Amino acid sequence: MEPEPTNPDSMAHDTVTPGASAPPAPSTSYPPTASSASSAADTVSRLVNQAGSVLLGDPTPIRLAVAAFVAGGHVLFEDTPGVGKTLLAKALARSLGGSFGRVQGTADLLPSDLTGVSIYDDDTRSWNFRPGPLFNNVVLVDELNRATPRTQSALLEAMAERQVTVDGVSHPLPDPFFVVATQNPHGDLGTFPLVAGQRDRFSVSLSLGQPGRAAELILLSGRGGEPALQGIGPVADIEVWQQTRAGVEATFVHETVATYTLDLIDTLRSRLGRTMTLSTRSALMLLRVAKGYGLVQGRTFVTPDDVQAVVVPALAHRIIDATNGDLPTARSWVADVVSSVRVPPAPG
Amino acid sequence: MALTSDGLRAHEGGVQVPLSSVHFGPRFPTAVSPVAPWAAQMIGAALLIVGWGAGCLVIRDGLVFGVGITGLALGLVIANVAAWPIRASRMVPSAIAGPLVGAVTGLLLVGMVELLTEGVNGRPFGLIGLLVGTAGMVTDWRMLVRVRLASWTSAVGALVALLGGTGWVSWMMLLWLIVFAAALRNWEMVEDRAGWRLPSLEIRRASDLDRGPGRLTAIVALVAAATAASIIFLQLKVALPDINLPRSGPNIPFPWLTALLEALGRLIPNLWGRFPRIALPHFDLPFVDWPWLENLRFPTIDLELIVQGFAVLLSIGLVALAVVPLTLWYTRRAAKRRARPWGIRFAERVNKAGARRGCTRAQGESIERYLEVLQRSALPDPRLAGVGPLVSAVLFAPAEGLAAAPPMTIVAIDEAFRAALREYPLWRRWLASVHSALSGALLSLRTAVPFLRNRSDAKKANPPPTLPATSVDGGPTSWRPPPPPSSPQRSTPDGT
Repeated sequence: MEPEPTNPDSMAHDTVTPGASAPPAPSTSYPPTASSASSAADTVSRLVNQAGSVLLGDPTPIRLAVAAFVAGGHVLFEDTPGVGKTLLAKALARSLGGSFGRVQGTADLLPSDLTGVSIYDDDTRSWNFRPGPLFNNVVLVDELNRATPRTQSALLEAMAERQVTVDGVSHPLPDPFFVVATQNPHGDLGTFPLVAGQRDRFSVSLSLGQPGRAAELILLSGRGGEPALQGIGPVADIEVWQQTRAGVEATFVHETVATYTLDLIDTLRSRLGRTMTLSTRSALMLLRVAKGYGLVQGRTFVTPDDVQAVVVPALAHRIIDATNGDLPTARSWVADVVSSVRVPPAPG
Repeated sequence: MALTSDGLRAHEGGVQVPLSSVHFGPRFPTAVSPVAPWAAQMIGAALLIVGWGAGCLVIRDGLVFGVGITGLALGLVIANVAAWPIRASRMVPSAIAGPLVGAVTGLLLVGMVELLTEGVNGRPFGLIGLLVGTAGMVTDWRMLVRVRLASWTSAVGALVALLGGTGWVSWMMLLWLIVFAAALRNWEMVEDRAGWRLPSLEIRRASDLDRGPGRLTAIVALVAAATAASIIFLQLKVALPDINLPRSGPNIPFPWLTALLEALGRLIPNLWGRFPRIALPHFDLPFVDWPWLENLRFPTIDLELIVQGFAVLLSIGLVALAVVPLTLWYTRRAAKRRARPWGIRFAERVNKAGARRGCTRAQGESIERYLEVLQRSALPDPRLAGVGPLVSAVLFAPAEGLAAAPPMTIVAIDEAFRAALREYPLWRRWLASVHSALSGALLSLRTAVPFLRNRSDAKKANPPPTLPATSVDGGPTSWRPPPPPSSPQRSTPDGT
């Protein structure tokens, strides 16, 4: 099936010149100045509010998605159809001000449908690379687990290394590069479960759930949702987001919070047993998303509450092999473990 | 390996353990102590022997001493041996193993004692059980798991015996209760450990965790209590020379020296005959038959006085021995507690205040969230509303990240918390509880006694018939859809 590159504004595929070097990363000197931190927090807050004006209901998934974005990660949604996954992705794309690409996962989707292909040009007698939908700032991969594992693997390099290699040539992806993928619930017909390496690339896995009666009433009255999507624009320039994401790296993490994070990881590892474990990348990503969440909360430091807020969405999808692919069970399991670990400061 | 909610399995060390109870059931302990080092065990045992001996010397009961020392030795052995067969303890739930091992050990010991001594009643059974548990507890808190069920039973029995018993039974039961009370301090840590568990994990975690003052404190407290009891009994005996203390041992002086030998002698009369009985001094026959007496040339003094003086000195020494380490430990602990970071001390105060008001901090609850919960429930003081984020800022923000000087912030937080505590003292909660209890009782009374029911209640129960409401045109009121909300309830993610 042909990938469907779309843009929330014009439904046209925004092309990005392949081979163009990524913009230089902003400086990450620490400590961030009070004004820059405040400005970043304000920008992130506006992004959350704007996305929340489109996707009504519980704002927690939006905050977590934004936290994952500013932490430089990617988001995996697992939910029933029609709860607003695509809407949220579009709202984020519009609010971020970047280009947007969309791919519909199917069994016949090929890796080249994502990465792009080299086409022979008779005039110039050379191979020209035509970029795929991955070459966008925000990429929505709908129903990712309907694509074959081979196609799913095409995302690995892009998500981890921010580049795509075709015919031996590496093409850097635009910055910021943000993948929002959705997958059907475990056990649906025609799905190929994501392998552990693929799941590990996603910073958080979220479920939007039902918006609630109050939000649905507002939607029925014609506000929010698609109509609201048409009225929103970029919150900030791409450069601002680049700076914000770089600033997250410099977010302060107190030693006790880092220790608490490792306590959580170690407790989970010990309870998982020997046949399965959590990678170091999991711990790193957990702390990064917690940093992003701290920024979403308007802070330039991380608290144990931030870690607790992101630990379930950041880790549950990584251990679902232990629950036979059942994400809700994995979430409740992680939450149970989290509730058993002492939070600093805890008197001895 | 697959973990599912309906069939959890783990294969570890060749043993299939139902992980449902491990992962989803009882939580792992938060603080577990490994077996005490040998040196600590020996010091503790020595202290216990001296303290126990002093007490037994005063009451002149050798059986108590002998059984106590046996119990101590068994406790030490069990505490150390229990650490070896990790696989066995993994396979056997402690709830089953504890009472089973305790019962078998107790039966064996009672059999031995009954065999070796004649005319001994069943009291040693309880005594041995108590002492095994006590010794195991003071040498290793992990023994609490083994004796958990037995200890609850023993505690109840001890209380009953304390209330109804006399003599040494009472004060030894009192000792048991003291140790049991000390154990209760750490009871929460073993509360969830009755079920299946993976001791290897516990032991591994134990090395990383704070072990607390447990063992030595319990030993010192035990010695101090024994000494105090000894002094009380001694003073009673000095002040009231005619008082007859109940005894259970043989009717000879220093029975705790002779009890075991005499028992052996009774078992094997010929063997007993070979023992140099003359080496066992008797007050009524002071050394007259002892061949070495002539060489020793004892002055003619009252040996009773010497013994009593020695007992007094020993008691004073033991008190000093118990008090000095306790004082040192408390002093050091107080200094250490004062030296802790402000966050730890503040968290401790908050936890204590909340727990006293019926709102205990959950294990996985952050201090910021706990303060919010307190502010909504037990301490609804508006001054606490913004304290949580401030505390987080003080604790976790970089020093240069705080707008105000950290000491000033800390002072403000402390003051707000103190004010909230002043505003909602404990007696308010008690008053509310009393009020609630009285209201409930009154309600029950009114429900039970029809005469006391209010007439208004009856009116509410049987309201007078009313005409249905009608609209302007005379028809029944029709349902109208609610007007559209003037402002969305949650138009923004923040719900503002």
